Amino acid sequence: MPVYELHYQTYEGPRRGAVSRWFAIARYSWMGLLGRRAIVWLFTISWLQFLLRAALLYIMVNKNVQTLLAGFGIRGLANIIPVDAFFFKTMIDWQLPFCFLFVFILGAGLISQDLAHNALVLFAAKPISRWEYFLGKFATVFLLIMMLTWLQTIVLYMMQWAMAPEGSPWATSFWSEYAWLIVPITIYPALLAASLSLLILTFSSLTRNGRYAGVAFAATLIGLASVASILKEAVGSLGFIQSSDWLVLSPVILAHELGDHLFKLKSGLGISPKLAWITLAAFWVLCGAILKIRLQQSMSKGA
Amino acid sequence: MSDITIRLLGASRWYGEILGINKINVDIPSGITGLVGPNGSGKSTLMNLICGLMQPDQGRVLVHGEDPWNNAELHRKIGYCTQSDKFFENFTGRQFMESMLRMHGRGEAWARHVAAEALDRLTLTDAANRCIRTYSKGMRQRVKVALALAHEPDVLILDEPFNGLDPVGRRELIRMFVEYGREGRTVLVSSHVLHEIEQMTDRILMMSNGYVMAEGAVREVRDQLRSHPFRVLVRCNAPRRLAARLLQEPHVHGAELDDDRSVTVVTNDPDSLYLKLNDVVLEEKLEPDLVTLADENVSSIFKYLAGREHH
Repeated sequence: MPVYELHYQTYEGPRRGAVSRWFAIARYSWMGLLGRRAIVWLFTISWLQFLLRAALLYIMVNKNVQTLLAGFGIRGLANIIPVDAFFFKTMIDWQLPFCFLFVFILGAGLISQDLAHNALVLFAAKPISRWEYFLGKFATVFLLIMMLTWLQTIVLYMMQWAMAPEGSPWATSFWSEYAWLIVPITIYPALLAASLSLLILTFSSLTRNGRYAGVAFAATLIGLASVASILKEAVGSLGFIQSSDWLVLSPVILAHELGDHLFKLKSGLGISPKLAWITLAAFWVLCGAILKIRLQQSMSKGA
Repeated sequence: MSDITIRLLGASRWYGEILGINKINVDIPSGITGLVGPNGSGKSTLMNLICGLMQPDQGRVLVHGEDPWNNAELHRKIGYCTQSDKFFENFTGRQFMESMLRMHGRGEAWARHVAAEALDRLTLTDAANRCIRTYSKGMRQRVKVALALAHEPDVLILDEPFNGLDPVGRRELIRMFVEYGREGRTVLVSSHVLHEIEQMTDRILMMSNGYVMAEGAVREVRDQLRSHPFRVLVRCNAPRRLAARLLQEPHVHGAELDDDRSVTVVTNDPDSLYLKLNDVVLEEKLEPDLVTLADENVSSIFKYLAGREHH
């Protein structure tokens, strides 16, 4: 019988921080991204709209600045723009081009690179489940989009609430008029982030080339918007389908429509909210199913 | 208490219609076990099954009495060095190690500490802050081994860990694995080169076409190979000089210069050849970047052995 020098001890204590295990995947994906100077510039530029709106909010409530600007002939700034649901919805919508760019750059290679380099086995051999691997990749894109949309918007919202002068609607009727806005300000970006994350990860899981995934992602968004518009014009109403219903086929229009619904804004497209929610759910289920199949296939192939 | 760590009970795995491994029944105890076989013999499939990277189509695989498939708890005790070495190209060696170790759920400080320790053990500290894309094949190999053993695993599965390493690097790794085996860990290491395995352990599993062909003492298997000629390919900066030196050895029957960077040496005693090769490399200050059996793999050996078994 062999005799061993047992002077090592494998750690068998509890594993801590379920979140930190899969969050490590997201964290190191961002680190890789931030190593590129162009990305840092793009990220910085993505905060410009926030800074401009924050400055506007500050000027609108600050009498001293208004007086100062009046000296330069700039007057009537107190009510230059109403700070309401439309203000916050457009804040999020105008961030979307940055979101698409980041999703395109960061998300396209998230799974495809692991497939190309056979690196999935490295994750599979670590003490994380396949579900945690997915969560890590999902969080990489999801949290970045939330940072570009929700974080900036919620800070503006808080600023407006905190700076509201006495007697202004934001001070006198905040709870009845504006408190509800926190819900769409949170849910709308979350819907956008989840949808974009699922879509890009789905394409990324289907190829070993990140560029193909990125191109497919862009083509899908642009192509489906075109197809939806063509169907609306060419086919029009068909049975119980209204001509405007075809527009839900476009994820961009769908998101815009759901945003209007959440922010209680009037939509000019006439899409039924119920249909929009059902389409979104179907879209998530489809992406989730493809991802599950692809990850199961790839992660059980071994090295 | 049983000494058996890994147990395969009639384990089979197919890739579509292609056989990976077939009805393998084997018990792997603590200490080092060498896994030898030509390409496509099922070595990597066996290792993947043990690491829980795939499931057997038939039979069972048990590590410490548990099924390793999707078993995150068990993976804490397993260290795996994969054959593939192209990943995380934009990460530094340190970032790569820390990011993977964070998944053990033992905090950032622990990950940083054990990553630094493992990189140091594999003499990669100086290169730790360089991007992996700048690493040589040997450095990539070492960073993979560092990752496999950083968390002090109880079971170490090493798939061709010596590929691309220079003789000094090989010797260092062999010393390290022997130490691990002595500590009572279970080390399963695959290699094409019997000589390397023999320096680590006397126990081997020999695989061919998805079957375990031989199991037992490496010396017995090696003795059967004595009469069989081997062709060893060496790529270095001065193959002509190397060939001239090696042809002086009685066990070397020939040498063919393939091009201005490689030579194929024919011998019936590869163990002596490898030892001599180390000496010549050091004496002549050669820079070898590849030493491998020239028959693409050791399939000739196995054909030979298999032939003897069948007859």
